[in-house]
Amino acid sequence: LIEGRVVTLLCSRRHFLYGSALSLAPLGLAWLLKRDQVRADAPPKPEIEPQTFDLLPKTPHFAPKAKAMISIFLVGGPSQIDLFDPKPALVKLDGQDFPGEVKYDNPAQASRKVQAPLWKFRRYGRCGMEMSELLPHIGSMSDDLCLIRSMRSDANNHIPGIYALNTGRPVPGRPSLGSWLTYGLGSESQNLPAYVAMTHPRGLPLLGGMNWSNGWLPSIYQGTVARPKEPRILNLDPPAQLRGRPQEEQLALLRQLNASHLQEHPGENDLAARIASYELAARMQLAAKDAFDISRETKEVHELYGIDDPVTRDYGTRCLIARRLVERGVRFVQLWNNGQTWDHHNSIHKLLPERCREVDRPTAALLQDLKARGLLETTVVHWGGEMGRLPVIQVVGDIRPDKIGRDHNTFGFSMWVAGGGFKGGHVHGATDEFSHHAVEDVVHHYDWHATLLHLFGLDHEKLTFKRNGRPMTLTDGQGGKVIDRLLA
Amino acid sequence: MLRPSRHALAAATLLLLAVPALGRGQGTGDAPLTYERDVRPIFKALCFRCHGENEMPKARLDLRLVRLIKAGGKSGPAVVPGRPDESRLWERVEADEMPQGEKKLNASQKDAIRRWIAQGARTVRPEPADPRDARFTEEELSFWAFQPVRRPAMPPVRASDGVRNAVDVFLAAKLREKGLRFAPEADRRSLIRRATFDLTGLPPTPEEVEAFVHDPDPAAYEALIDRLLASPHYGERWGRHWLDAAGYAETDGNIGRDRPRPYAYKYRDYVIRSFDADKPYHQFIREQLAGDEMARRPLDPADPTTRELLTATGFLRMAPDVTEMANSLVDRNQAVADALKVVTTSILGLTVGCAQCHDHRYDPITQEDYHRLRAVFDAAFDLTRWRKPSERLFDVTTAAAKQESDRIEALAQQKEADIRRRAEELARTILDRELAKVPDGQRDAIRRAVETAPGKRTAEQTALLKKYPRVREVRFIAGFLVEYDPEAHAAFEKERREVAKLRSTKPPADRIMILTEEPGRQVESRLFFRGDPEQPKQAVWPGEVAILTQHRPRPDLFGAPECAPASSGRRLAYARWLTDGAHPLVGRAIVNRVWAHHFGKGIVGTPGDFGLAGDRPSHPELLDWLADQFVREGWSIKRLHRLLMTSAAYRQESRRTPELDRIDPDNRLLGRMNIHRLEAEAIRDALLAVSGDLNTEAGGPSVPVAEDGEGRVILGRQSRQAGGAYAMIAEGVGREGYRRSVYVESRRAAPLGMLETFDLPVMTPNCDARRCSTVAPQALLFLNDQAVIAPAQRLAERLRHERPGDRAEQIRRAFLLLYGAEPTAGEAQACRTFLQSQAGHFRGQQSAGPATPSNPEQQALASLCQTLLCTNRFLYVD
Repeated sequence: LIEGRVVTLLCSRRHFLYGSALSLAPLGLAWLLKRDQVRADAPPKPEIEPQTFDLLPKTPHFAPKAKAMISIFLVGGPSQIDLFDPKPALVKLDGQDFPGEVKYDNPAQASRKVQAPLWKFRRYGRCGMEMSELLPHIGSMSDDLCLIRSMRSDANNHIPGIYALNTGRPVPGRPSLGSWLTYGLGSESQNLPAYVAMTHPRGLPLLGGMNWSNGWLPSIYQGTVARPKEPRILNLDPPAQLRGRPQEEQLALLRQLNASHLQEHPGENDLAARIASYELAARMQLAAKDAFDISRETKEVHELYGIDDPVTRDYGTRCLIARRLVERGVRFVQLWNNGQTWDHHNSIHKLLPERCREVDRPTAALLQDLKARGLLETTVVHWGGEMGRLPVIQVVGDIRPDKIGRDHNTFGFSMWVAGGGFKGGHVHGATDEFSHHAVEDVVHHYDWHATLLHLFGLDHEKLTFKRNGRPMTLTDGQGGKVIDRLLA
Repeated sequence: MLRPSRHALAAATLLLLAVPALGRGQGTGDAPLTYERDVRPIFKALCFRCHGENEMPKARLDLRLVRLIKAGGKSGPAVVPGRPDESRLWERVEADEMPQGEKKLNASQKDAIRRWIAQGARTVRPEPADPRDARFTEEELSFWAFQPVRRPAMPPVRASDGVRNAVDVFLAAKLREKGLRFAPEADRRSLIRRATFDLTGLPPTPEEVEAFVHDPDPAAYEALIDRLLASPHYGERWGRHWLDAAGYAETDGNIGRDRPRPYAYKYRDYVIRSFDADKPYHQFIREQLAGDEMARRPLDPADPTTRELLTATGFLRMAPDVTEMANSLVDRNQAVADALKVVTTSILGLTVGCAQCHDHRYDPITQEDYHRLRAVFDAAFDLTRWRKPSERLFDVTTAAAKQESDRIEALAQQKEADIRRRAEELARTILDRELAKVPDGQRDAIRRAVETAPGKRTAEQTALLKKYPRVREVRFIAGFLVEYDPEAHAAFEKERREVAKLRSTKPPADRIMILTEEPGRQVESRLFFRGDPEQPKQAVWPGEVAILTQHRPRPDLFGAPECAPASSGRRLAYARWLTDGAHPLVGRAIVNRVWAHHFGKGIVGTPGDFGLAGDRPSHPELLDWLADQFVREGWSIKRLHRLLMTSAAYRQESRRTPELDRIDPDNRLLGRMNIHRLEAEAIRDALLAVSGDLNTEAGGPSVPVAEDGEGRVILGRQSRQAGGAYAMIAEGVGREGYRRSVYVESRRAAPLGMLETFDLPVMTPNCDARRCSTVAPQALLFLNDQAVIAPAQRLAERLRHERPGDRAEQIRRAFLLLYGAEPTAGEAQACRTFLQSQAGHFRGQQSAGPATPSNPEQQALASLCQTLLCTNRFLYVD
């Protein structure tokens, strides 16, 4: 410890400007450092006491409604026109020239031909919320959903869009939302990672590990990857051949050999601490094993989440694990798709229903299950991507009608949230009559972040981290506002 | 003034305070508190900035002299001697209203202030008339580290002291004062393991251990040290220590994209070569600070000496420098400040960098001092004519290689021009096709519009084109063929890949990262107000920090004349001044560094800070004697090793005793050796060595690191699957993957997972002392990670190969390889039992599931090997 402190003073007065702040947790277990001392960002002036950071629970600025969050991030940008934002005008104009200016991302493939929603809208729930027939299960939970139809980020491509929605600004290098929440609130569980990023069996999302980066926050606030297969958390689960008895035998022999070595070095605290670290590691393995073991859930639960159906098995499993993690005190869980599979520039006829089928039932099950367990009140569930899509056709090579798609639209799109103090059965804001621009009660990404932090009991302007003497925030002085009308 | 010896006695407890200088002197009994010793350091650190150093002190209150404090400011007297409760200063401090920032005084600081006022607000001596004369106190000026090195007299020796050489004489005298003496000599097995790891970073082989243990020569130990000092692995080990101090990294340090430095490895190899050759330290320092000014002009890339000298200046290019991608004045200034920080902490052991924006908070170093020292480097780091990292490379490619490269480039460009021409031809026909689709009546107007340069179009033309987004300029279509004609695009892409392939056959350019000056350029150095390069103030001349010149004439650092006109010669003049043998810090700093690596802790516990905020030397006389001896013996690091390692102190046992723990719990007096955990590199290298995999290839480009798709950093080459950045995969690197860790690529943003877990430092900008953590991820890595499981399996293979069919012999061999010692009967028995029961488990697994390729007995042996690698006996050196 003494060494640690001296080193802190010597080595890291200006830490985190560069370097390991960005590292992708070479073993993915940075949270286990518990107290991150050397990694403290220090002010330009020498500090008398080094800063230390940990994951112990923190008291928020005021009484919170939300305690945990599960975010289902749909990279690529689901089509709000086909899923959430019905526009009779588009049906009327179908196939005709778009009456006005279109903000294209890719003019080479642009057309001015209006494309009406490709699927029917239905009214769901007591509130009568209009949503696509592609999402019947999510629709059935509409009385719990707070649907925002007026999202806007102005970042006209995926990467800046993801950064805006997930780190507060459309630029690389900043801490992710989950890092801010765990930095501000710590974790209720000290045996599990505070912030878990769950990846898709077919691969990492666009931007890979940058999506759960701690940016310049200390690295214990970095997301820990939960893999889609065993071992779910690398190094927190033995490889198959050592699982169970073989590793227990190893630990027993290790204990014996270390004990006799310690006898030759009586009073050597370092050696004793290392022996204890193996015991701690073993306990953590057990806790993780328990949290990720869905075989402990009933058959009914498996069915509810669609784990018995190959189409929904993956999202179902991950949603169920997310619930088990939140139950055990994990602060923030984020589910990712691979690549940018919601980016339907072409073949939207085929691809959008496929994507919807994978997530619809598991997402609804998650909401239902959280609600039944009384967890939805304190758990924010978020479902959305980094952008929406245009009301006109995009043609990529093949012009056959079933091959068409829609280009990016970051000027108006939809997402929904539920639980944790968000108003259920509520539709907020609106786009223009063609679902191109958000025009009514516009919610910028920074308003969304300010509102979200508010529900966690955090003032987005007061949740700061000092970097080079400057207090940094998630919303970064962009004028984010808490939107009261989203709150229950 | 406090005598150094008293500091030493207090040092063990003082170290508990990160900043021992603050609040010192309290609690030392009845001695009255004084301003200079007890209160001023607190004010200097936290208050002078507003109340003393600025031209108009806030609230007109100046805290630099007690006289001025008593006189007070806007709100009247700040202190009423003897009456803290009537003192405005105390009121504000107690209520945490002052200081105003987030940093508040702690309880012991407040207590010191209150008691000082209560005792009458005393000073040690009459105060000067002008507060400017009180910039430094006598206490600061006479601080030990700023006094010249004086060879001390040897303390008396007694026969019972058990001394072997001069080092022991100093240590034994201190031990004796406490009624202690050296511990018995460690056994030979411990000694050879300790010495081998210390000098080479690798474990001794069983054969080396046995030879040493059974060597009847009374000088066997000295012979061992000589053999190890001559080992080619010595430079890899000790070069790595210097690379920490120099902040060695192979990336620029940008946020977001951490740009690689493909030639940084040459500096690494230069350092390793220098240590192997035992290059005299003064020469080593001169080359690194001013190699370019020592080289023959004009610089000849074909001359090996020139290349060596230029490579040495890579030392000044190691700090983060993001200006390739973010080249603002602030970024440039930061790059310079970081480089200077590396110089001062590594060579001087002083945190001069803290005086960049204001006078140093602890040490008697002024902001002028900082900028004078910086002026030495200004000609090379010219902020107004900045050269980015890519512009600071020296081309050493051979003429033949250049010629061949030019030939291939010309051919490639020719092919590219042809592709471009054909693509535009095609684009023209596509444009015609698109135009054919527009309404007949508008076609000509649209054609005219699209053929008009975008900047010259009328508003009508622009509006017209907006209606037909697929009608674009030929250039645009040619660049977007992927959308207009995917097949043609694919064909062109194929041709382009062939051109890229052709280019890849060029002989690689060979370059060196260097620091040089622009010939003949005069640079005017200025002090920056608050360290801000946008606010230059008065001009400053190059010069040494004043406190370091108080006992000798100030050096002339205007430049070594022989360097003109190619270079200012300032750095060479400075390097000579540092290494003339009389500098108060240079010698002390390096002997302390070497000491720290041998004994686990320096004589000064903070190798990068010998100032007031640093640690006090536990043995100041010994430090001075060593520094003096080091210079007298020709600045030879290897001689220093030999001296330290042949001492009785180094050869002691490491076992603690209750008596030692009671009297000297931190072992500052060295009544025993310190036990220590292996550093990150030594752990990985030892794993490779015992499994028989170690590839001892030395030098050259680094083994690359890559992300493996799970977000982990492993050895490998990054490649991208079709589809983009998120689909990264790492390709293996074969035998290269078994090279020593010093040759593993050092990316600031992506340290190798295995190494970072064991406290590999992140260079921001450098590291003076590594931390040594004990955390659960280390245990999880040893239990579950392929980085340990794979070497364990290969170690098991090795055992089967070397001791076929004999379990007992295999166990014995494993112990000898890992620990250099035989297993006890109990240990051997435990291992045999373990093997039997593990084999049973693995047999059960095989019958239950799909057959694994390995047989259960061999799997059991691998699992034993892994367990033995997990033990403290492997991870620690005693």
